[in-house]
Amino acid sequence: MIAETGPEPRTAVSRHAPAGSAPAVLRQVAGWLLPGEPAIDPLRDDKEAEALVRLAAREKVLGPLLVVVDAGALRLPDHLVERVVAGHEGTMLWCMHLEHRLLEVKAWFEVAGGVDFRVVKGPAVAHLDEFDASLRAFADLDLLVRSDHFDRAISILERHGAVRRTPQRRPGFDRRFNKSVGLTCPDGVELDVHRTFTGGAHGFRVPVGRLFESPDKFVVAGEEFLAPDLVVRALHAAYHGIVGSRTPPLRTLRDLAGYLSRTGLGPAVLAAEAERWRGGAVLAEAVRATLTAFDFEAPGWQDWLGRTEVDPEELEVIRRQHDAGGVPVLWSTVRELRGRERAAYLWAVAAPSRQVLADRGETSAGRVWRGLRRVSGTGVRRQRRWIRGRRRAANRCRWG
Amino acid sequence: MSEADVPSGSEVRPPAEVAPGPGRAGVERVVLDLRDAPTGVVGLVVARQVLQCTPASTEQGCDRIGVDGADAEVLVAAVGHEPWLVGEVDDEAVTIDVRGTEDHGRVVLDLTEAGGERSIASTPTAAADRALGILTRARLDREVGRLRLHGGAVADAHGRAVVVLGPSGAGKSTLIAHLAHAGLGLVNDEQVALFPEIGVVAGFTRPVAIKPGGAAHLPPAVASGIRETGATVLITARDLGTAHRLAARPVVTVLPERLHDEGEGEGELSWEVLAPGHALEALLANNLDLENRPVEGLRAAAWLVNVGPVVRLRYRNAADACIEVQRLLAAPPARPAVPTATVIDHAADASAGDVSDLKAIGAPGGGGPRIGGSAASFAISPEVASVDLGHEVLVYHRSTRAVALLNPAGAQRWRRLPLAEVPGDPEDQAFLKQLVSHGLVTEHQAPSGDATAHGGGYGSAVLARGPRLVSRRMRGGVMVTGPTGSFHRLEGSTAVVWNHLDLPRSAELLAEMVAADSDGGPGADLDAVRTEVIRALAELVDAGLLVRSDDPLRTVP
Repeated sequence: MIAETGPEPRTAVSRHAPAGSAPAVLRQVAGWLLPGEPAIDPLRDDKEAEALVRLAAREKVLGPLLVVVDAGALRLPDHLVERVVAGHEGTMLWCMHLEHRLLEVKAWFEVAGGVDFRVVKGPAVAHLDEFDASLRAFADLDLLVRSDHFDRAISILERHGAVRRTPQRRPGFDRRFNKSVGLTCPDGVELDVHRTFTGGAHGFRVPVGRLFESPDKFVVAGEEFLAPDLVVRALHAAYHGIVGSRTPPLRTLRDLAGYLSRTGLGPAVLAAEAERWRGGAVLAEAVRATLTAFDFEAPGWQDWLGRTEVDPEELEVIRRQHDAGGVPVLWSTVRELRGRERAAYLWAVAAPSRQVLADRGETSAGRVWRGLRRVSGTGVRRQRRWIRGRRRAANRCRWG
Repeated sequence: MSEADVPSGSEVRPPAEVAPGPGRAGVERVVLDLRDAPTGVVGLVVARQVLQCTPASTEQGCDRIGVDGADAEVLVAAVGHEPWLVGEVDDEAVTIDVRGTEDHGRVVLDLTEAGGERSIASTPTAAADRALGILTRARLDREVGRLRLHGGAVADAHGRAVVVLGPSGAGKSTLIAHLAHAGLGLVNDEQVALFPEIGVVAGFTRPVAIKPGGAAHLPPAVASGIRETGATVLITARDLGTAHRLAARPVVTVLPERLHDEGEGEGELSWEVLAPGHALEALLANNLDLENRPVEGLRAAAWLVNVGPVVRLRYRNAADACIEVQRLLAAPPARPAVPTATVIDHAADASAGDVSDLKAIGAPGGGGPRIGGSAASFAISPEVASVDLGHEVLVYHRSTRAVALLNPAGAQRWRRLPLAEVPGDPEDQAFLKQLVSHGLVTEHQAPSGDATAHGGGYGSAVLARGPRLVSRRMRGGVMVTGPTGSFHRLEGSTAVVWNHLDLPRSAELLAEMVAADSDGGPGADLDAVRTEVIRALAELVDAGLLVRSDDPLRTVP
């Protein structure tokens, strides 16, 4: 299948919104600073202006909207400008609060003997990839922690009052298999501690060691933090937009557009790395969604997309990840694991800890009963068919 | 949402007749009550109440409670795994949109306050607790002049309260649940407000929140009825076999410290009465409002230290601790003699006077305090408020929230401030240097005739942004926040100078950079720019936002 023949990717703001409507203008606002992006259409009326401000707040792009207004590229009624300013200040105060927490977390880790971590997403993108940090809003903190430090990092954060949102599936599951652990601090700050970038099959394909190589540095309040390098940050945005969300958020598409328009980050670099991660399909989908959302100039990427063939099976892996609804036992995921790892993963999925069951309001007996009922139905018939098919194939190999 | 929207199973008590009588202090409070509603739904009844307290009435517990039914609002948080649009609560200062998500039944609370936006996601059960906290905090924020402590309180039948304070994880809620189960009335387990003028501590009614894993430490009779879900468990006063008390007279303050199994501490249970200075320090560590109302906060904390002993309680078993706390409440230990504590607001002493000036630095006409005359002079920073405890002095810095307890020798030196010149005694000099490095004392270089030519008193010193200050460029200026939310808005040239201080720089270099950036370009009137830069630097230094780059404070985590 050629990438461009697929259905148009879903994006946060529809590409087909009429010119001058809030969604169309917001898309132009988000892409305003990109090279070659055309001028912003004037809003049709005050109702659309109101809707634009609401939409920009929801998509957390009040900063870019304010820049556009201050530059005179878009006119808004005064009362709406005031609302944008106030809303943006409120958002930024929350971001600053999060950065104070980041400073605290670093100090907690240092006092506890050190934890090797990288800051990903929000603050890292704001400080490293925007020309001004106030243009990039974020709602929580995401830390990538090396597997062997993972459990200790969680326990340090818990000691400082952060509470896990869901219990661990089995002892050791987090550091071996989990994509991330979400914690909530008493003041509502959410800390997501990541083992890797994404869930499902791609979570096991991404070479975790690579994420920690040659980090970039950024400074918050005089303290130095490490973030993954530019290539990894760009691919993370692609995975976040395509695998992590059914509909790529506008903020993420804006980040992606920024990465794709960088001269040093062409297909030769980024696509090659994505292939090493067996994530070519993810990158192709991300590029397609970004080029669909914005009218910016990225001839290299348009050419690349035109000549890139995406394996339909890979698209299916992405689709299944979206449809899984948190169900971890997908064949596409399990087949990425080998031997004992696979057994341990399946055991954790089949027999979660008592806390996990309690968290879901289940009991062991109820779970077994539900499993039996499921297996006794079409599941068993399908499984038998599959086993028969495998046997036939094996016989063909043996005799044929 | 009207009363009619209250889900069946919830109930709103009829309004009681409360009229403020002469000499009675009326305090508007919010009462939050957790009710069981039909299957799968937890209803939170949020009602506005007027609590009437008098010293006499607190002897019999709280006064009458009234609920204005018309003002009652309901927040219903979904429990379950289906996405569920569940409702909206509008308060005067806060709006919370509650909605279910497709993500494992998590509930998202969107808080929109003054145009700002925050999102807090949680599990359904924890969402109810979070909503309680947000609404309560928003309401209590309007109670100007109160000091709120992060902690709880329980009270006996005579209205005598034990206040339990401590950081998250110390075991406050567990201990309070035990005490409530033992028959003491529940004031609160999360926040207590101090009312020194009427001699009481008060809370708002809400269930006790037990963190995941904490149920195992509860009294067995209570724990047996709890299903651990990995989220915060809310236990009503009724479930604990007690009732709420809205206010009580504090008799003893307990700071619990749960000993873990790794051999921390020696005994199973021990306690010690803290000296006044350390007691005050401990109370300030648990305050919630000190940065906004430091003077009132310090006064209220000093009052609590004065009315009863502050006891540090180390324990392993919450049940044992509960018995010991009941003993302490029945027969409080003697507390060390505390002279009348004097609280001094040094912002009021300084020529700048109003602390609010610091909130908009760089505004036309703004300017910091000045001590002229000699080459160097030292004054207590207007950011500081202090409590003179007789032998000791406790010093509090508004922006950094640093608390320093000065020993008797230090207290004596502190009382000698301001100084017109550098003291001759090396020990005095070292002490002063420490205070300056922590921003408690400001050092002023007197401007001389050619001050601007020499950096306006900053000489060739390299200045840097203070430690742990986070900033963002905003429209027309810069917002700067300190470690715990202290807030400064920089405008005009002060904001420009701040932006150029992304790296430590000298006044002279800053002047050149600002001149180069100005409309006149590098050829702009450098003297005029230099004067403006020095004025901006002085304001930033006075606000405690800049330090000399060789300042050791910059490297201290």
